[in-house]
Amino acid sequence: MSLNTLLITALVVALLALLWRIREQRRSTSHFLDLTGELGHKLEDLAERYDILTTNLAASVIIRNVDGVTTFCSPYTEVLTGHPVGEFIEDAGDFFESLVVENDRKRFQRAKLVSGLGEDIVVRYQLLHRSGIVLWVETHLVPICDSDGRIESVLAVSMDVTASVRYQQRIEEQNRDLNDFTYMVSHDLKAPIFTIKGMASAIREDLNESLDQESRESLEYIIEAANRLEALVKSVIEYSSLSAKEINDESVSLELVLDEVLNDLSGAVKQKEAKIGRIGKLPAVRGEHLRLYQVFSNLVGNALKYCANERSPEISIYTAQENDELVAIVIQDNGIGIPNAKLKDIFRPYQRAHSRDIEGSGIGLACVKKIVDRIHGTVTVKSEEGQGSEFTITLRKSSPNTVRVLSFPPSSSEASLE
Amino acid sequence: MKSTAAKVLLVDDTKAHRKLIRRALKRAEVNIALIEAESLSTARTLLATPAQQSTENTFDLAIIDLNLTDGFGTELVTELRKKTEYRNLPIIILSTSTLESDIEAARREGASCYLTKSSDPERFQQQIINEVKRYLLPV
Repeated sequence: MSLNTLLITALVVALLALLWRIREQRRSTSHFLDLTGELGHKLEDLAERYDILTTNLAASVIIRNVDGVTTFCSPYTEVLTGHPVGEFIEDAGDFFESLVVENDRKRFQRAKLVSGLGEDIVVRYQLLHRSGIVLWVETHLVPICDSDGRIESVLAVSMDVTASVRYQQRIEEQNRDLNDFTYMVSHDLKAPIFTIKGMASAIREDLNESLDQESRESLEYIIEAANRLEALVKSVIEYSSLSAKEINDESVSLELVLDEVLNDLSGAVKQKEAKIGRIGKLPAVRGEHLRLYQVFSNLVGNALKYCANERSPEISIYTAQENDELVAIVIQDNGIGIPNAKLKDIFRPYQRAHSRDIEGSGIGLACVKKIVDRIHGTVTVKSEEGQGSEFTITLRKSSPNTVRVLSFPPSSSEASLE
Repeated sequence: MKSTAAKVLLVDDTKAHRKLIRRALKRAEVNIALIEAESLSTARTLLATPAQQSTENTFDLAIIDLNLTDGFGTELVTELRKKTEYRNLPIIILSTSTLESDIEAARREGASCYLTKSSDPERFQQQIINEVKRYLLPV
């Protein structure tokens, strides 16, 4: 269930409890007070609203007092359970409780007990509808106190949450499938690749002298294709495991991340004679070090890989915009750029803007997007074919205090100053 | 170090992979008697043969694939570690998988080393040679 639905439910439940109190107040005071005045009208008005709300709410509202007498049962209860309202009112015990499936009944009783002691509680369980169908139901139990603060009744608002529970179960099932898939790819798909590469290499080793140019070239194509296949399999595993794994929410120094990325890419930087411009210092952000490394490694790596033949790569990395909460970081290059038609799909998995002869799996930018999404950031791109590309990542800043505490525990001299 | 050939048990269900490992072992320049099994059950039979009870005939090294048709290589590691004569046997687990969960499971069950089959063939061959020499040659 979404946060919104939960909030609305909580609000409705609180409102109901309040209105019920007012309605009861009106009943008990009407004997003594003249309610023809303005106050009387207001109370009348509120009580009416209570009735409208409970009649039209797609949730069952039941109020039982401390003696176990059901004092109110809303019409929707019949829709939820299939049993007429009268059965709930007339039953000396808790008729509603008798509909809760055996396995969940203990939990339901415990929740009732807790609410009877004055705590709000939410309980989710399975309920047997009169038709024989079993539903998932969620009940919010709220104690209602009298004017002396003593618990007088418990308000129970129950909703059919079958659809959302099923949805959750489906998501869990999909996650399991995804894990099985990753496992299958890791084991079964990689084994034949190992065979192809191993055997091709064995043939090359054994016959290198006697192979003619033609056959040697064919063999190289086999090895190349197996390598490409292996890289693809690796990227599929990487991408699918990004959905399954938790991503930490910690303070990460982007300066440190970028240091590592540039260090690890120094070979390619040198080979391509690239100029890397780091302008200003990057701030600390919320996220996970390894994941942010992947983001920057992909973006800087792409800037190096998709460089234009006629000029050496120039890559600038800088903070474009910054406020108290967010920071936008730009990675700009003078490479071959991305064709306009490909731009809208560039963050989707297995999409490639350029020839398949440039090595790549079509997964890098999809990973970037997935990681940035999962740490509540955004990534956008501007590009002109033949001119270069500009990627902007917006991330949540880590407050300076947290960084200091996380990276440098205060020394004793600092502590004594305070 | 025994004067006779070192006995090596290789368990892998893929014929081609056994061939590649055989090639690597040949290049290790160690006197090896290789005994191959294509499944856990064959390996269990080999290990249960009474003749293996005498120290002369016990294995000196085991190379076991992780994912076998009749189970996981780690199961065999667990069983080997329970036998007194194999408590300290060097065991190499081979797998195509680089999943952390697989590497961790192998370590937990008592494997001595985990080699991935996905690296390039020359490097894989060299890794096998290094490990075999490390475990079978006197220091």
